[in-house]
Amino acid sequence: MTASILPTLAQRTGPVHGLFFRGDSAWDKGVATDSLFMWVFWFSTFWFVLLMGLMVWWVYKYRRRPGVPASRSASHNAPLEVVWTVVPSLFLGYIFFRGFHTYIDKLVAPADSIELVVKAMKWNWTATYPNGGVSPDVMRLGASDVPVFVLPAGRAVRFKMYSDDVIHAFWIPDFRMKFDVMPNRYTSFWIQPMQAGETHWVFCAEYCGDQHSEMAAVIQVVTEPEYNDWVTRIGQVGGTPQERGLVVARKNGCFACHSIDGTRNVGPTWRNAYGNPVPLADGSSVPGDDRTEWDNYIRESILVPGAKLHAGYPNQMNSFQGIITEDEILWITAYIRSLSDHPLGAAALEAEQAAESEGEGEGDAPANGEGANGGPN
Amino acid sequence: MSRIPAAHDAAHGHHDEGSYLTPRGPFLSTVVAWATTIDHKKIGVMYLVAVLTMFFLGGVAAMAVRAELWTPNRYVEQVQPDGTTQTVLQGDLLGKLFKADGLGAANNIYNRVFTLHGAIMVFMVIVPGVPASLGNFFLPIMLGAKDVAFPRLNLLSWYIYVTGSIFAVLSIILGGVDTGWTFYTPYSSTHAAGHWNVVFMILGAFILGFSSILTGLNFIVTTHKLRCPGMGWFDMPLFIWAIYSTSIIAVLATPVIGITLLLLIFERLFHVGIFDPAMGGDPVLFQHFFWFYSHPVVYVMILPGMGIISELIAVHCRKPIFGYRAVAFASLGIAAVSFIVWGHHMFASMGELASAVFSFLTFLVAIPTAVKVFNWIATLYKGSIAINTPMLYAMSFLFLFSIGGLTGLPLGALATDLHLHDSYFVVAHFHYVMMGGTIIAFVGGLHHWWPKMFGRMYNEKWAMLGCALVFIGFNVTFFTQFFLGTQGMPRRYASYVDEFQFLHQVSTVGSWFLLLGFLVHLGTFIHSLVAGPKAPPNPWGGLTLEWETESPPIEHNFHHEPILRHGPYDYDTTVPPHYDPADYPLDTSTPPHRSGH
Repeated sequence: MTASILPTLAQRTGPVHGLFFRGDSAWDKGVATDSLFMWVFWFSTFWFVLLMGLMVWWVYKYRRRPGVPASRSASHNAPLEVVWTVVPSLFLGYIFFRGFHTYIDKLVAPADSIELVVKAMKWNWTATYPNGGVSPDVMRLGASDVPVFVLPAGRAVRFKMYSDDVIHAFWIPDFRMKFDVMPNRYTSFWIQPMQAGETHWVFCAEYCGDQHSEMAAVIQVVTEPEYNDWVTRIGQVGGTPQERGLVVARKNGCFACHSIDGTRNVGPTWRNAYGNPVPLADGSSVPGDDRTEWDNYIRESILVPGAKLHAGYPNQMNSFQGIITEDEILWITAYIRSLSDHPLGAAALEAEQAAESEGEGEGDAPANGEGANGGPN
Repeated sequence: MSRIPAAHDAAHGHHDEGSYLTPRGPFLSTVVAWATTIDHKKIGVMYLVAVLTMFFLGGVAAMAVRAELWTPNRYVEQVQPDGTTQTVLQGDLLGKLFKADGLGAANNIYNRVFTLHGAIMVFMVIVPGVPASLGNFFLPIMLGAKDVAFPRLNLLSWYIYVTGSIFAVLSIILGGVDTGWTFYTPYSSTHAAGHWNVVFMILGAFILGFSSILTGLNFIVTTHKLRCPGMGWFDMPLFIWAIYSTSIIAVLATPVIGITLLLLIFERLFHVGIFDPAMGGDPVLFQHFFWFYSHPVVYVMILPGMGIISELIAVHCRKPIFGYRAVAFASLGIAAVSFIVWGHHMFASMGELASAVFSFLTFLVAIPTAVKVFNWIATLYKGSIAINTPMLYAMSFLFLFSIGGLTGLPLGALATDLHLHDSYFVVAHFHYVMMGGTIIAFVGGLHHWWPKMFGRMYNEKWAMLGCALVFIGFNVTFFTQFFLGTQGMPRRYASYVDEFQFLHQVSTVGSWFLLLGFLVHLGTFIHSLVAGPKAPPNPWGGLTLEWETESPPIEHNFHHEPILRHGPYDYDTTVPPHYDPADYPLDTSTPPHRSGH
């Protein structure tokens, strides 16, 4: 199926089509959309050239000459006016019908579609696969790392979409398809990727605040066996606590605002945060050398983000109360700790080492499930 | 009515009554006299000054938007003087200018600037622009009246306009808003930063609405009650038909946005939960309310422009508008259908049935619009066409507005709209309609009526140069954006993927030509006021009543109440063949040969 449809797609690319679109659409409903667009384009071009041609010709031909008044000509002509009202109306009816037809095709998914649950939040997309897995892959697009959604070639994929905060819109330009993503109900549409190896941009198309222009994703099309392997792999949430923490962070869109490479984003970076003092907006600070303080600071910042506000950052984060479990908080804490070169600060590290030389077990911070896995290096 | 040519060679009765511009007394009392005037001409000029001031502010924001989009925002590794490498943000021109810290803050500044541009241009320039300035000045004169029906209400409208604008400016001083001019919930009601900025901006738009309602009411009553003797409905100039249709829409639709904005303020301040999904409200309800006003208002914006074009083409071709009645009824038809197409702004959020119905109705509104364009072009046939600035602007309008109208077709069709919605294709489309339509017609009309309003001619060559620069700059700026949109560039983006940079840069270069064109016009107008030659009463040879009084008009418009003896475009029957219409005396000072009005 994949192989047979592609040559016909390629033949449709003309020079004018190439001005408007970056190549052919990646599926047949998109090709149908382009076909309607180009039909409207040539229809419009015909009328535009006709009207502008007449305008320029007549303005030149009947330009004012001294002493020559305007000739008398009919001030109206009922048959002509009826014709130029009715004929365009018929064409408009045709455009309406084709538009409606392809629109329905693009919205109503086949029964055997793979369903991806797409969640939008300021300013990140996450897709949960049928087995509960969440894509851990990212790719640099523009100034941000955006999530990668892997999809199989030749299979229909239905997006079931909702938003955690404001209205967003899920736009895949190569598929000529978008739909708003709402905070109070599900919306959906479907696509069918054709060619393994292709990547496609996803943009947020409904204005949603500061990082609207960074709210993107990439769809990566692979063969169906590759897809099945990949989905199975991401479905198995396992590994060390910090590996699990990375998955939880992706699933909850943490990286939309928190970088892991030290760059400043909407929120403070996680790189080298853990174990270092944090200046707070009220003038106080989170001490860098106390692991309990730090674990509690992370927990509180996830559940009540405004309670301890990092100096210099706006209070923009939503609470994850009821969204994230206690286990997941532990994993994220382990992950954040793993991003720090000196997870306890120099002083604490020395104290820990000193305690270790004296006796066993005392140096570890209290009440931490992640144990030795939490520490990097 | 009968069309009796008023073939009087009798000289104009030159009375001692001075023009409305003549200062009465010392400077301070002249200022007070203007601030308290109930003369529709002075109020029209005051509106013109206010609208052009806001156009300048909105234009500065537009130039800033285009400048920011010259480069995308990127993190790059940069070697510091001390040898270390550091990741720094580049390409955020506005961010650097306002010393924003980081990508989020830089993007936020861009978001505030484009909101400023949109809100100012829509609420303070394009909606009130033509009716409040040219409409105020010419509606009574073209009807042969001394003033509008309620002159004091007219002055109040101006002060309400200024108050609304002050609230908007206050909001900007407090830091501006980043909601977009559409104020979509729940972003505007719960998420957008700056509590009072948002409330003040919405309050500003709310107050401006009252100015529209009162002006509309005033014009409707004036048109019904103050037409001069002899002027039936179908003897009215088409500009009056357009302003009349516009006023009906403004009076009917503006209260809806008023109550919507009020609900939004309540939501913002008291969290009443009408639009907030967290409290069981519906954010899409806001979009329905908003577009129930804002779609008809698209025609509030464009109909006066269409009215101007009808005048420009008739006068500068010296021919009656082809199918006058069709054009007049098309205005009313557009006004009526405009109320039932609001849903086409929401194809990407509504159900299939509603989308299908609104798509169908949207194609209906295309028909009267197309009819108007056909009629204007047919009017050119066998005309005596002057090649001057107003005519060039009329041609520019036909060119740009046709593109704006035709690119509405793929947006009205559902399948293509789901791709193009909220992309740069939409940005290009509505700039072709709003700016290529309304603003181009406004500037054309300003040149057409400038000699009448200020009694001085402008330099035709420089004005034509300005027109050419605006036309070229406009197309370079906005035609590019059609390609950006179809290729995948979403609107309201502070940054973009590398593939879009070339087209963005072409668009930005276009905006510089556009700016240059407007600066040339500004220079031409200032030069005209200072050193322009004195304008005759009827420089273009128009037959509508404003050309029968002096330039600039006297305080009471006419020396005697005019009596209409010919239709607005009856060149065939009014002007004897051996006369140039510009020299033919359209004398209204002599009583008519007949009685019974």
